[in-house]
Amino acid sequence: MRWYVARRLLWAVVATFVILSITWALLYVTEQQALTSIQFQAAVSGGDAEAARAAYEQQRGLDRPLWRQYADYMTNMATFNWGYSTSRGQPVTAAIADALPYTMMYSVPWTILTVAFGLSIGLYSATHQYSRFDYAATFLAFFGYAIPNFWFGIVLLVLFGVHLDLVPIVFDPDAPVFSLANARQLVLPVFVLTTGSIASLTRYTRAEALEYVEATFTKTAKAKGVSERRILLLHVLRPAAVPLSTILVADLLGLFIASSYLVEVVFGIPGLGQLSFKAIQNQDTPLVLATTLVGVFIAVVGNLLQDIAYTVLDPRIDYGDR
Amino acid sequence: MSIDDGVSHTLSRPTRRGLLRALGIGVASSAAGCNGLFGDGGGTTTTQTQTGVDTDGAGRREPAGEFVGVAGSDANSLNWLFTNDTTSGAFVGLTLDGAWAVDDDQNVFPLWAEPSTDDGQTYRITLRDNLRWGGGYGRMTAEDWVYMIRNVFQGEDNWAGYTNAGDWFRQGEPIPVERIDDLTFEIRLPDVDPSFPLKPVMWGQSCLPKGILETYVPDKDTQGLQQDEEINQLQYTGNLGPYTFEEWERESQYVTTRNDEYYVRELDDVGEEWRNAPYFDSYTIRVISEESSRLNALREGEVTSAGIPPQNAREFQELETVDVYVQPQPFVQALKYNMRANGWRLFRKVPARQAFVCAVNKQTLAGNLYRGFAEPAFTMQPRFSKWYVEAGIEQYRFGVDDLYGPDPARRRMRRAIEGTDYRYDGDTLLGPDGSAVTLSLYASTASRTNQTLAELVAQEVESNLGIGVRIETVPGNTFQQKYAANSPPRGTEVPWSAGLFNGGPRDVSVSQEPWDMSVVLGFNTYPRTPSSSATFFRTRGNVNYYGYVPESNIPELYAKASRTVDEERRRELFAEVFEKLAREQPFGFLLMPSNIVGAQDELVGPTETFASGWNSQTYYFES
Amino acid sequence: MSLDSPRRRFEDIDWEAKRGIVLRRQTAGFLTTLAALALVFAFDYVREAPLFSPNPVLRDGWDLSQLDWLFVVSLALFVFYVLVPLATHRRMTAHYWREFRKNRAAVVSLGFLLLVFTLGLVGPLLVSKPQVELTQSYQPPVGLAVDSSVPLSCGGDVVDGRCHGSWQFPLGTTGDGKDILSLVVLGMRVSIRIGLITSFLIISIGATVGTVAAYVGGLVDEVLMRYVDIQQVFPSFLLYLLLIYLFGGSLLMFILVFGLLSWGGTARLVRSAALQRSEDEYVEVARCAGAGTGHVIRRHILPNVSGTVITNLTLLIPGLILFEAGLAFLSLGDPTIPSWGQTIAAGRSDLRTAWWISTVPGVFLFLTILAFNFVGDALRNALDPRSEGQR
Repeated sequence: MRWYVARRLLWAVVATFVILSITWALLYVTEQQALTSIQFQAAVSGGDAEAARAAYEQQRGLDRPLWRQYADYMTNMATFNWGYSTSRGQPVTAAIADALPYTMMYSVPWTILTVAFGLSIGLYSATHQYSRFDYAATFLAFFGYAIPNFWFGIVLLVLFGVHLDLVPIVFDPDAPVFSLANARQLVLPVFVLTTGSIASLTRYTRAEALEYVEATFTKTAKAKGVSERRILLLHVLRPAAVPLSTILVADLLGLFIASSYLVEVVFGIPGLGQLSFKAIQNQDTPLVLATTLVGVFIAVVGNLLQDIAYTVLDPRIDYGDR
Repeated sequence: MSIDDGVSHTLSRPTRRGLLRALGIGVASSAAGCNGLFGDGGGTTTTQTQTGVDTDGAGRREPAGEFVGVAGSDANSLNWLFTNDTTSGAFVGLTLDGAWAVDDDQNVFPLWAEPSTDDGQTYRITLRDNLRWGGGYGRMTAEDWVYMIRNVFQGEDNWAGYTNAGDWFRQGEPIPVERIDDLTFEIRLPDVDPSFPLKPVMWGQSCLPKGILETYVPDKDTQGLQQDEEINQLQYTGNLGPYTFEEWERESQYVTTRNDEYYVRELDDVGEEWRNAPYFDSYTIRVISEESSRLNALREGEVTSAGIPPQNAREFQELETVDVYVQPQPFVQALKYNMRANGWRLFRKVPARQAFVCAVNKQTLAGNLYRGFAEPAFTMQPRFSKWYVEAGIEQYRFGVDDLYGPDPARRRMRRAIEGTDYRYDGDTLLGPDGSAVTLSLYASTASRTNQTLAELVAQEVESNLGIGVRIETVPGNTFQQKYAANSPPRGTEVPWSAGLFNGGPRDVSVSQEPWDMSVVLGFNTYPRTPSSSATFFRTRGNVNYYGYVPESNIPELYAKASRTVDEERRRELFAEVFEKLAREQPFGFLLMPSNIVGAQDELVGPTETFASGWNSQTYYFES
Repeated sequence: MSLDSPRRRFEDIDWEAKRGIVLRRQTAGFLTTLAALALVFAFDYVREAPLFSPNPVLRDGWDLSQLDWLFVVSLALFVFYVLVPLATHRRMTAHYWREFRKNRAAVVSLGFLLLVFTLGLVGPLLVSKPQVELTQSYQPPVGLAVDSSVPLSCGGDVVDGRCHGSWQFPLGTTGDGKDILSLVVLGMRVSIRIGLITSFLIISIGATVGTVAAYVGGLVDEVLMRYVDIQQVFPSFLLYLLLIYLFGGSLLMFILVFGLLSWGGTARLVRSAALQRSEDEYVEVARCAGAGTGHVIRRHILPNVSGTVITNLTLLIPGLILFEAGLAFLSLGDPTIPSWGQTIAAGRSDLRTAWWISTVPGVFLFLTILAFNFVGDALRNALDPRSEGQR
């Protein structure tokens, strides 16, 4: 088992490396795009397109041999020497450090609320199947999932920001993190995101819990006259926690960095989502590689943890002899 | 690919980027939200959080209020040596005035320096004596300028990677720049150029202290120069600009505060309105990429001014709290014809080109697409320009009144197809192979207005000329790379080549992908310095990607005009140039849309002129 | 394990029967259709003109694109591998339907989806492509009114300075003057394309990989799952963006990129379900009887895993449709494709005045996703034998 874990961890590193390499290759191929635009501007102003190209390549270190660029980037990534972002005018680590707090401001409440609501609604629905609450909760969860986030966000912003004047339209980055002003401007994004993500957790929770609600031992307990709360906690939640935790583990990994670019655009939040998106648009290689690295590594580790949790908790599947 | 909402604007305080941007990715204007801090260029809006202007007993205006502008996209960096976008220019321009400004009458207004010349060829630049750098670098002297120009702008092999190095070279040779004394230096142009002060070479040009540069020049340390902290934090700006840098929260806001030592206040040769400039306690630019949010913020008073798209203009005009300014801008929207070997041969004939513009109703286009906030264009110069002479252009007003419709269009088309295998079968034009002619028209994916324009043009051409049009959309960068850039096929010799976008004679050098027409790129008509547009119309011009060869002596006229010192004579020559361009229609000139800017009604200062914003340091809030 | 064909007794087995390739009727039918399609495709490829020229029924004619061909193939797959089995195994189908019917919301949703599917299939051929016509821009839907300054000219009545909608444009028009009803119908076509083609790409690749990995195990399993690992965390959005920069956006590229890169989740799901099933007794029995790996996978494991797959699919498809809408919002899609997302994106600056432009397609998008969710939920309940005996 330990050997398996070690192997998978090693694999996480290899996978990240492979993906980074592919990303770098893609960026290299598309770098030509931005270049042509600069050359055009140079040509129009009577300058020399060739000189513009040389200047551009020199600025970004593109005049080194190919393998050299690749090796440099990979070693830099590995040693956390992430370089300088030309599209932000600051070191890459500073860029990420700037954007991270803003993402955390909405991703932490988002994750916590999703988990809390998703679990509780799912459990309640499982134990009170086909009741009115079940239907209402399911409908609400589906409603949130089905509404396109970006459209919902804009509509709410118009409603509450323009017509009712309850929330600011423009995001104020100076508001202290734990203040009322900050809460006011984060209410809508968190609401939009949470309603969108509850559905899958609710559904999964309900399905898993149902298995135990219908189990014979639960029925026995009910026949014996055990209190409903005890049934819920000991007979349903406890065994259901096993598969549930596998999902939660992966979800919670994204606690701090789960970001939604669409929501950030609509509400003007300068977080990680728009950082990586703008980096790609500007073909800012160091920044793209760094944000990809973070995202990919966490995702791979999340997968690994999920697999391990599953195997630890469900003895039927044994990775020992695989 | 820039996520600029497809708009290129000129700045009120022109950094060369804004003006030199002869290309607009997508559409010249119409989309708001780009920069245009002070109204020129639209897009940035400022808001005011307090009203009230206090004047003391002497009638001097006191600063009050906080100006909040918007930009559609954030700047890349505050190191102006390496940036090209208008937002960066706007940010830096708040803290550095630049050499001089150009006012509404196209006269030079000296800020840091004053140019003078006897012969229009050698320019003496005299700096003011009270300019001081920040960060302990002393006074601004001519030595700073000459050192910077010689070693950075004209550096060997452009080691610094300065984006506008080309401005300081003529015919491949660096322009000689000499220091005369502490506050004077001379620029010796190789040719006579009376409009030099109006060109964005020295106009609005910033400077860096020699003290910072000399750490990087000897070793040609590009990276060091790019990442230098003092440059990136604008610590050297001293008393050189109305505001000083406070903080920059990326993708969110850029904050500057009033500069207590602003050099202009010590001057006595400027008007009353400059006495206590600037008149805002702080100047903030918010970055809001979503257009609806910008407009909402303008409505609610959360920003002072913002650019407004044409379809919302009426609504804001009716709002009492917002003033709307309609400003002319110099970019022309034109239909480019591909006259190279992989385009359509018939475009090489003048009557064919005229036929296409006769087929499009420019007034309806201006009225419907721009809600009336655009003017039909007939040549490479806007009507508001002082170089525009109505008399010669009258007979070439294609696309309006009598010169619009299936008759004038087909008449010219028939003249064009005389002697060829093309013929009209009823209403449809048939090609040599007997099938109906279908041409491609490229539009930009970044701008809806651009696509709508393309669709409207296509519909008009189809119904008035009987030629099928197929619309394709591409991103701006892709268009430049695959459709504009052209080169001769491998192994073919060419007698001349003018660079990436004009790789040789039009019969040999072709682009990677074939195309017939496009509206993707917008061009600057340079109303202040019309000779700058000559490069579009020379056979060997280095932007001539469409393969135009002039039939008359247009390039010679341009050259002559740019060398003529006498203004009357210059005007006559330019008038002749534009008349010939109106006749030959190297592109199908369509429209010149206006810039629409909204500002809270307390703001006093923006005007409805082309140069609005040149004196933005004097704007204030009225209570 | 459906045994609707008459039971064969031991005595009926013909030991002398020739071992040939036994083609089930299903497969035979599918292959024939595929061959016919290939012929038509070759014909269309050689011919320069569109396959269907404008005629009274197909107003604009129909020139099949690559996307259309992919769609037709997916449709054929759907018919032969979903509809035909449902039709032949009637008892099973009846049972599923009974379970399904218990959820009323799901039944309504299924009806709605069928409506969308039919309209999306047939509608665009009967509705001509919307033209840009600025004089009829910003018309409100019938029964609603907007301030007269918003549209250029009003098609309906102008009462009190407000322009009212008319039946000429029952759902109103966009800022370009395009009829929203046409756009909605065309959007349905885009949505079902995304849905059908990607789902078949994902199912065929994902289910195959999952079951093979589970059943064969060992090195094959390891290699496949490691590849799935990489593919799942690979930033496909990044790849899509960069491809757009190179080639410009198009629906075909969206479908290919995300269809070929999204099957990882399905593969893992199928693999874990198959892992459970391959320990079951009937598989042992089949193996003892001499069934080969392929046979076991095809006939015993796959059908029992199909429940999970289908449920997973009904959640994947709406996700993809939503994703395409999101991309259109970011101007990363193909602006010439009249998808719902494009229409929503085009109308977002006008929400205060011409709110119907974003809202109408938004409502359709919302209803479609909702419908998929309900159907998926009910399907899971119906197909999952574990929840049998409920109520």
